[in-house]
Amino acid sequence: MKPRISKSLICCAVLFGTACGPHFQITAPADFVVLDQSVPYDFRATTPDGLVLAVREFDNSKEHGDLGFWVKAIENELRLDKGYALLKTADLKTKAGLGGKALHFGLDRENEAHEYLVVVFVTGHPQGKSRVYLIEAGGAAAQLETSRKAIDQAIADFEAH
Amino acid sequence: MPDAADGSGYSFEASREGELERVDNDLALATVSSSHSAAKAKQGDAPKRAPMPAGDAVPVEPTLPELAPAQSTPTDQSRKPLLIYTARLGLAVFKVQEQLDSIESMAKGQGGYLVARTQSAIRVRVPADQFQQSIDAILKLGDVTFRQVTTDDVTAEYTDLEIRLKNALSVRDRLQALLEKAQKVEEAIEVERELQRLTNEIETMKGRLKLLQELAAYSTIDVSFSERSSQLKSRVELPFPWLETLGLEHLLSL
Repeated sequence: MKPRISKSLICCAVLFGTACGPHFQITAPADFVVLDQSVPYDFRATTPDGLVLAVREFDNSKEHGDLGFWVKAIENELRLDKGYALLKTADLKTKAGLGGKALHFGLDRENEAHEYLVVVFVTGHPQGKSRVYLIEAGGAAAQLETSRKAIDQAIADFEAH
Repeated sequence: MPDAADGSGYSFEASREGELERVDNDLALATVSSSHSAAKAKQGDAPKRAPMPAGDAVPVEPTLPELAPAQSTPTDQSRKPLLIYTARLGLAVFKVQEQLDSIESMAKGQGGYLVARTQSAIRVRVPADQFQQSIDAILKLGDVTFRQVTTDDVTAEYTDLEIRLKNALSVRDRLQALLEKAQKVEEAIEVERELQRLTNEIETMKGRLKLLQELAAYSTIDVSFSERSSQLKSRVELPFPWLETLGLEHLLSL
């Protein structure tokens, strides 16, 4: 078993459409390994069983969509276009005080129930720089249930800069 | 659990007569486009039948009772409207087999029966007076992304058929009397030919009446589990390509 992996991503580089690369910090939970090649994600880690945790960020400076806008857009995309069942939604706040929304989805893949968690954060000001952060976690329902506490912890510790 | 995915709470569908009608989720508010537009569904109108036997993937047809002789007249004001209810529901693709089992059990538990079942869809028929309860039960099962309920009033067609049947039976009686009185072979053959034609017509009308009775007695509920309902394809796509990359397909591609 690998030791607990903690990886912080704070850099400034042009990466996958974002004007300035990842502006967040997340700690991969125990039993996860961080992947180098994570397109289109800015961070992605996996367990040996294929449970994946990922983060990506988008520049929101032009659109200035608020949290409600992005949550609804994500919900529509997944429910109406991709057939996901919306199981639960919840407001949440990180330890650093960043408020967001968690969307918990379900989907059968190859006749096995899978779950997919999307957490949305929006930072910035109406007139200034604004970013959307997505934390995604997904895998077989049973696996996600097992690692749910550790994933929740990683989300709680998430920081946006 | 969210309500109707499209947010409208109701849907539109052209009726069989080709008219566009608004169909509310609440059947009590359903409007019916026909000469009996004021007709309102009343529970228990349809003939009661014994519960259908358990079926499997093979389509199952119920055994219908013998059609009662037409007794009412076209001016019979006590005639109850004959309404055919049909629902189409789209559910999110999650725990599909579990939900298919639940829908099948629910239908059978309410005196209905399974018509057909595949890996991602099911068609059940439930007694008309259990229609709304059945839909309510299905809505609680999962995340409903699409729903459409239609009501078709076939009272006029049914009444018309009854009259035509009554007349045809009357003519047949007269023809049979004529046949008995026929003096020549040619006359007898001619009458028998007409009797044969009329008998076929009578059987066709009886069959149609039975079908209408059956369709009104048992409402059809179609439930499908699928991605991107065809009814929602016209939804505006937002100009944010990253939305397309949401989901497990991308996330789990390592």
